[in-house]
Amino acid sequence: MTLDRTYKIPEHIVARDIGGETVILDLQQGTYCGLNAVGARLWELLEQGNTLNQALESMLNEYDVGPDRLKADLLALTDELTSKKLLTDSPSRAG
Amino acid sequence: MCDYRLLPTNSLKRQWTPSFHSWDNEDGSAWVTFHRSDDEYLIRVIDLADFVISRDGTICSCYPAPETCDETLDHLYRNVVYPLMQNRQGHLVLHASCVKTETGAIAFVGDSGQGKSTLTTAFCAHGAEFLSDDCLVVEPADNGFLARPGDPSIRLWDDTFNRFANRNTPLAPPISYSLKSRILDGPDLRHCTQSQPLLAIYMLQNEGVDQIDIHPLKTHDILPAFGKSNFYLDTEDHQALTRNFHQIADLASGVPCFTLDYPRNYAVLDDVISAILTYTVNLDLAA
Repeated sequence: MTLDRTYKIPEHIVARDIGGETVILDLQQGTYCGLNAVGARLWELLEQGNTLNQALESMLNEYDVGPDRLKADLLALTDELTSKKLLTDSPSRAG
Repeated sequence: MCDYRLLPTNSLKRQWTPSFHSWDNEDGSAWVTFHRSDDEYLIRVIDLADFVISRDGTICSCYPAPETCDETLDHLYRNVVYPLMQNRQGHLVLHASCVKTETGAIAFVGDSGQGKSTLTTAFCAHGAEFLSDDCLVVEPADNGFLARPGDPSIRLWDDTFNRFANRNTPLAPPISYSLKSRILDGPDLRHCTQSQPLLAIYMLQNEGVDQIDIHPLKTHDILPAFGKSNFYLDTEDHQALTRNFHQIADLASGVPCFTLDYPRNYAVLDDVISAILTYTVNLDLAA
């Protein structure tokens, strides 16, 4: 997995921020996934069409964390979200 | 608004596609099956009645089985079909009981058999009024959310019934698919007929605990918890599911939600009520 990928959120996935956390629902499976504040921020940036690299750069300016640590965390999270089919690694959807 | 029509027994001749969803008995057999056509839904309560619902949830035609009595049909409509029609009309309907206290309404969410009705009845014994026993319509309002009054009766198993009822307690006629006794609105169990501001929601949890425990429901647990605790008709209508998802999220953002654990022992119910009221009053003061 590279940092230059963009991601698409499938149409059957809905998400909502509640108190700084993001809850995701897969409408087809009826399953939920929760993201903490950092994961929620990543989700927001990817939803806006940013590449993973762009999201990483933004978040390095926002969080007091080393670049290697944040990169590893973001790669792990996108890997998990992709494996759960909550994200697909294709061109981002418009809007 | 809901338009209800009772039609002749076994007069539904239309063929329906296989069910897309079902509510099952503990032994795995279906109790209710759900079917869909282009413009209607069929809610089939096995061996008791068919209810055909318009797509928008405003019209219901009931086709009873020959042996089904009027009381059973009435109860099925009020407690199974009507909540689902409300859902189709766009309302959020929780599987919850609800009481009105001095400062507002408190709702109790939980699976069947976890003690919602017992807790509600105990609150009424302390002077509260009840808004609902099993299904609660929650509506957004200017300053939060309102709990809407539901069916003016509470169903209880024998042990709870014997503890709280007396020979003057008004009872509904028995229904064929449940052994519970149904207590009607009356001096011992007063029904609140006006919508009330919803102060808090308590999700009933473990029954094997030995002390009363109340905790804020974790944010990432709220939606899954309420998602399985609301009346929902078409489990494959993604547009309606999305609307429902955001309704629950709005509710979770606007009303404090808590887990509630307590020993299922009548002797501690007074303490449970005190704990809930204290917790809720403190929320109100903090707001």
